[in-house]
Amino acid sequence: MDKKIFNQLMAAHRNRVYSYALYYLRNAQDAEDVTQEAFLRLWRNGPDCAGPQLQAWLTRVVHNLCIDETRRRRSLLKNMGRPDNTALAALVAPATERNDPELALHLDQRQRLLLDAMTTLPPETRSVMLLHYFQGMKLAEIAETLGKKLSSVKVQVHRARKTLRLVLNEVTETPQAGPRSAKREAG
Amino acid sequence: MNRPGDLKCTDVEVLLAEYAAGELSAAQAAAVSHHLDRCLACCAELAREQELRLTLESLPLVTCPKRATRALAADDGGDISGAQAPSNDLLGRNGRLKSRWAAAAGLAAAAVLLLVLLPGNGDDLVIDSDGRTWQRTELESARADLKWTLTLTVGVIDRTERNAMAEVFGRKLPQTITGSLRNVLNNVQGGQG
Repeated sequence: MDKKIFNQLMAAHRNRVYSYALYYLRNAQDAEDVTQEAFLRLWRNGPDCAGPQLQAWLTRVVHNLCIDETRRRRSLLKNMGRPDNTALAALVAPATERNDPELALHLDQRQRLLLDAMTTLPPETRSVMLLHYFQGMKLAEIAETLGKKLSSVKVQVHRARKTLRLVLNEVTETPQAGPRSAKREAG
Repeated sequence: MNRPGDLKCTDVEVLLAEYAAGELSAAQAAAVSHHLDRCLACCAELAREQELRLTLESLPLVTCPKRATRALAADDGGDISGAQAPSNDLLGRNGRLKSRWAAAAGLAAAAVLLLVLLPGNGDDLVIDSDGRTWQRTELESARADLKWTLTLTVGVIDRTERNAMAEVFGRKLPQTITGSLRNVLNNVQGGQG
């Protein structure tokens, strides 16, 4: 791939890839690793195309990397045989405002509540939720990109909403506060 | 009473995400609307769907720190010319292991410790290679800690650093290594487990 084109692609997609990984993994360092690895793969094996096709390829790569990272965390916890170890739990657990203040800066309370709850979803489902709601992909596009049936993607979203029902009720009742509203007030 | 073709709550719930996103066909959207006009439970579900959408849609796009892609960006101090393998510039970001050599040095130090803390012959006191005397329980505890630290070290380093370490040790490292301390070191050093 031509260096110039590669740099243009990276500039165009870097923030989107990083944000997705950050919200999926809730850890800035892991999100950086995933972003770096995704673009390394683009450089080495990236498709010779642009536009939606490239975006779909990149989405699939990042989706797989995030799932791999989630499995790595779980495997680490499982293989240690010490799931009650608090130091390890802090190391591999999703970031929260306590251990990742940088991440917390970007989110308001409702978003934090919801993202925290989403860490309980199965990895594939969490990915579908972020692709649909955050990235704005249609469910049919997600199904095509991830090689799944549309019906199973629909069911994943439906089940996720059921899982998140309690939090969603809480979110509905939570007054919007935090960085976004602060910005609005300032503006 | 439901008319033939009317949707059930279970059908509507599955369609709500697409309904709220405007992705349904006109006929399907009309059928869902018709159901919603008469079903409070599904209206509540739609409210949750809209809240979910609003909250996640409004997540800000976070700017990726430049350090994450600096080594890949040809015009930003990095060099990817002819790269088929990660550049050395990829290593040592953001307070993690500084370089492959730091990682290798850590593991080498652990290997030295293994030699020092050789198991004794079953007595309560064990003498190490420096002539120091250890209580057996003390030794067991030190070995457990070392195994723990090593496993943790190998487990938390990122994939780029793991690749770099693989170059140093001449073999691919597993993401986590468990088992006896000797097995951990054999895994790292390429010996027989």
